[in-house]
Amino acid sequence: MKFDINPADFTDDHGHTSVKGYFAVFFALMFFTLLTVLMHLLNFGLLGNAISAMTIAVMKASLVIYFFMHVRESPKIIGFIVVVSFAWLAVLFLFTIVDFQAQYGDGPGNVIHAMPW
Amino acid sequence: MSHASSDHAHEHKPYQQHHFDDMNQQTQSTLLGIWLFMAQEILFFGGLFVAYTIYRIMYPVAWAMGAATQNVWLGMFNTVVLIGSSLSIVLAVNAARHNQRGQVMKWFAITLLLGAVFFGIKSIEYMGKWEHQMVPGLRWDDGHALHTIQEHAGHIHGENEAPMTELPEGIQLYYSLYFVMTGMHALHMIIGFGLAIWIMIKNARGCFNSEYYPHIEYFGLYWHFVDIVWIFLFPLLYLV
Repeated sequence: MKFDINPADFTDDHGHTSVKGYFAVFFALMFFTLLTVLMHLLNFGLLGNAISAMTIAVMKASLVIYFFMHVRESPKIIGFIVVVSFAWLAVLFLFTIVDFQAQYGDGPGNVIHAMPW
Repeated sequence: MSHASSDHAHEHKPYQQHHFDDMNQQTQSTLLGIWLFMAQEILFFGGLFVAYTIYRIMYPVAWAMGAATQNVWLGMFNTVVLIGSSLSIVLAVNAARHNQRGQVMKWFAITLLLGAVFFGIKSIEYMGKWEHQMVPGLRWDDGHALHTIQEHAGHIHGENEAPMTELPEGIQLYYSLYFVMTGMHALHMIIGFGLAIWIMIKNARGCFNSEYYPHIEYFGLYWHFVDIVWIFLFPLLYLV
């Protein structure tokens, strides 16, 4: 059976993702799921595992958001809100870690322990 | 006396609310509203993820050992099941757009079935931890916990070293966060089940057509969000 992928099949006449397209996204998500477990089994250490796992998780989430959640077919403001929400979350992370460092940087909580360089 | 302007052709769809000029404005407004709710949910779970991050930095050994006691294969199976339910719900939304009421019911039923499978596996995992007395705050026993961790994560401690005599610092924090984060996620799924059943009833009554199916569309968004939370929870809790 010839493995014939035509990206044009993934979009229907109205610019929406087709059923075939949804299945393509699903198989991509399955691939990434298997990949993340495989990379865990290969074991790149605590930090390496964290980076590889989070990179793959972000890619999976992006696929779900862009295709399954129809951000692809939504007004641009929606895409803007998605990006800003995660940016806001990043602020929450950053400021909390910075404050934590300032208060508890002397002990085991120093983020330097998470970084090998 | 004649009416002031009878040529005021009120082309109102029955489902258009009066404070909107037309259906397009209504649809755009409701979509925006739902996404603002999504933004709130991101920050809601974000708080838990930040707490997780701080404690993981503080107690890396506890995190590595705690995660090693989890069943990665069950977690992966659950991930596959939940992503499958995301596929089925997006196909339900697609069916609604094409006015296929029967297909909508079918895909909703499949979504709920997959969600139930996820729940079943989760229950097995929770019961396992209960039996091993590793539920912080409710049923925790240091001896049992030490035994379980030595069994599953002793290799992290060192294979040629003597067995562990004490639990790694912060281990109860790991399990607390595990239960709270997956529990909050499960609560969102339970709410989702309720919403889905309500929508299926409305669908059976013929409330939706290819022009108007916001409940289905927005439930899809909610369900995908729940899936995304799990996409992050799985590697963070199981694949340390």
